[in-house]
Amino acid sequence: MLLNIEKLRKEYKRGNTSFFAVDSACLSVEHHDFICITGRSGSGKSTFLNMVAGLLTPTSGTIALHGNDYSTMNDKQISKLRNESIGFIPQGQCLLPNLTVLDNVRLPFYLSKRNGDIHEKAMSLLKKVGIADLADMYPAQLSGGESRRVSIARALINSPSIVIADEPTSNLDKETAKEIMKLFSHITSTGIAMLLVTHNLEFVEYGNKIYSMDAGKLIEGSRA
Amino acid sequence: MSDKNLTTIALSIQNLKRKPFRSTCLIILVSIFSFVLFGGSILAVNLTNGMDNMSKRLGADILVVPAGYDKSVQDILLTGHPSSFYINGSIQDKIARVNGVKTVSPQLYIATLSATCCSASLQLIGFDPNSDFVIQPWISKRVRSNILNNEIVVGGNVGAKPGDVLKFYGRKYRVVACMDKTGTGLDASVFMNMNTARKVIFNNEKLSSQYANFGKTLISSLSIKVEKSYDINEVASNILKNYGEKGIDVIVSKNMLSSISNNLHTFLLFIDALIIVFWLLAIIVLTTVFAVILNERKREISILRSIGATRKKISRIILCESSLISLIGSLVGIFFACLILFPFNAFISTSLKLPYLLPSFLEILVFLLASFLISFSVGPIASIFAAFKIGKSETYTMMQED
Amino acid sequence: MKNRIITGVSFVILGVLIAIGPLYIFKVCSPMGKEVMKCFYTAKAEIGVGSLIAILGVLLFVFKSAQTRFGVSISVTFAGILAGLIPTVLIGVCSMPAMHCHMVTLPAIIVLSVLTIAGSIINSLYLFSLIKRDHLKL
Repeated sequence: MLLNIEKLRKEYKRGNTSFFAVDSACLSVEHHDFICITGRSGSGKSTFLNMVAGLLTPTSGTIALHGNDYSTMNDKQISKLRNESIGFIPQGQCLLPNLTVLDNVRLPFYLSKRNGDIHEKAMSLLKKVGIADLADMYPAQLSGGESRRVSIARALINSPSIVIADEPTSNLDKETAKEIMKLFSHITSTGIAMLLVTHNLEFVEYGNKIYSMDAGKLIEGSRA
Repeated sequence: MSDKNLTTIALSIQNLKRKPFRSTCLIILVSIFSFVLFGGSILAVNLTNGMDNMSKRLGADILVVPAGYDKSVQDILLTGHPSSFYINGSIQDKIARVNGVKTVSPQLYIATLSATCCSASLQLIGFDPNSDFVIQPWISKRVRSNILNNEIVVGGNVGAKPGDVLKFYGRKYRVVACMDKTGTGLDASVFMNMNTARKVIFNNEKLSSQYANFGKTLISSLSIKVEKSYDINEVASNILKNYGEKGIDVIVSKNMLSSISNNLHTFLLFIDALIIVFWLLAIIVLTTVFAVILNERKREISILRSIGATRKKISRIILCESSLISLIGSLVGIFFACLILFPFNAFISTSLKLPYLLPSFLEILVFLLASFLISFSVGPIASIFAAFKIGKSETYTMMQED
Repeated sequence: MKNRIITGVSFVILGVLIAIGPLYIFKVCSPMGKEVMKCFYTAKAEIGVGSLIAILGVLLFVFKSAQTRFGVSISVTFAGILAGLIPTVLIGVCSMPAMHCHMVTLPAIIVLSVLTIAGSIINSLYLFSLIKRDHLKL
């Protein structure tokens, strides 16, 4: 099993009361899985995803990637895991504005103190997502769809085991969104697992497993 | 950038390059501080050195000068502004008999003309090598025996070297030694024995008729050393009481020095205050700017975290950016301070009208390093709190706050 | 474009200051009768070198090609060195430290020369990096 999540909870305090943004969520992910999680705004999808990516500390529960339990790891270890095994695509604009497209894609490789030339792999990934000619552009010069493609290329630079994407098709037109989803399907076919959150029910058909999030609870759904 | 490793420094440089206006303004701020720090420190140490030298060169406890010429003596010492003033030399023996007077030695001051091109007016100073206790001990560091007739010793700013021949009032004089710079007006002076100095006047028709009434033993001033057991001010007022009607004024060196040193002290306090103000300004402005910048860059930081950057890495990037700003700012400020202070050293000295002497190369280097380190520390100090705070924040919370 | 404007204007200003400064701003000694001092000839020579630097500054603005501007920038460096050598080694100023030309004109020219040299070296390095980057792209 690639990723195992058991009874994951995240509690927040709001004034004198507290509530669970994520409440006892359980999930198992295998290689080649393409999991789509849907739900209304405020249902806890992003909170869940960020905990899985190791960016948010859960209140309780376990998350284990390749058998490594997050709760036993310090910041350095989780960051290393996130860098090497997870390709995370945050919601919205997620490129570094001061770096070119090519440097944005190359950056995760250098965060793990690696040496070597990643230039060719980065260019080949940009070619795969269809924007190799924009390598020297800056994010401000790209459209929404082009930015999203760059973030996908960046997520793949370290050959991760799983790609986690938070609302990757938000603010995109239908055609561009479909192209992005097709790219994700292609990624899964190469053996990389996909965990994706979307509020667009149209796109859940791309996944082989569907879940929905409601008031913090993760409920397994079925394909239509 | 595309073929280079994306190290912390490379990322920081790129971040600074993409915001050129902001980066330039912050660099200018640090460079102004380092300019004031290094420039002010060198200025202060130059003035202090000059003052120390001046008090060494003064030597005498009391100076007797013609009435109304006390300011001229100050000018000669401070700025080297040449002056000529005389009294009859017969007063020397009388003053030597005043209670408390230990040693008396005469000097003769003659201002030259700047007749030839490439020459400025100089101060000729005649002294008695047998009785002098101010100039002779100083000159004897360079000249083994007493200066002979028609031989001269020049100050550091006269621009002549041993073996050169200088001409004053139509007669030639051979340079036997050149003194080190003192930062005082003596640097623009020429020293000769009393015989030679008197001949300058009496061999010149115009001068000798102009000053004939002062007699063959004319002098300009008397330097007096007081016995240890006597109060200097008392001896000075005794001299004035007994011989004041002979047309003389009495200067107590300590009092003259202390009034100059009070002016200097105020000036130095001003420099210190300026340095502190600029230091505080630099830190406050940089801290504020970095806090604002980091608030704006929460999204960027959360993206870095999401692709695997550790908290330490983020802090390192932030500190590296502030250090680069400090580094460039410090170097630029110190560079401009050097460009103004050292080439224009003589001009500053003349303009300030205070004793002014550059320290040794090693001392300057020490000040340079210290100024650099202090200015360089401004950036990291300003950003350390923000870097620490960002490093502690939850990434997801930062994303939501943006 | 920004680089062309900044460097062009900077070197024109520096060149003009070197050319006319010794005559009108940080003046050399005036001739005394028939006698003409070294500093006077220094000022004359600096008119030539300063004008050259100003013209090179104009060329830096006019030419678009990074390679051409790199060559012009190198020329400015050497012109700056020449401007500094004239009052120090090649011709000189009055030897007496108290003279105005020694106290003010000489250091002023040295400062302007250093700024010209430093500015042109930095500009040359920047243009060299541009040329290298364009070469890699090809």
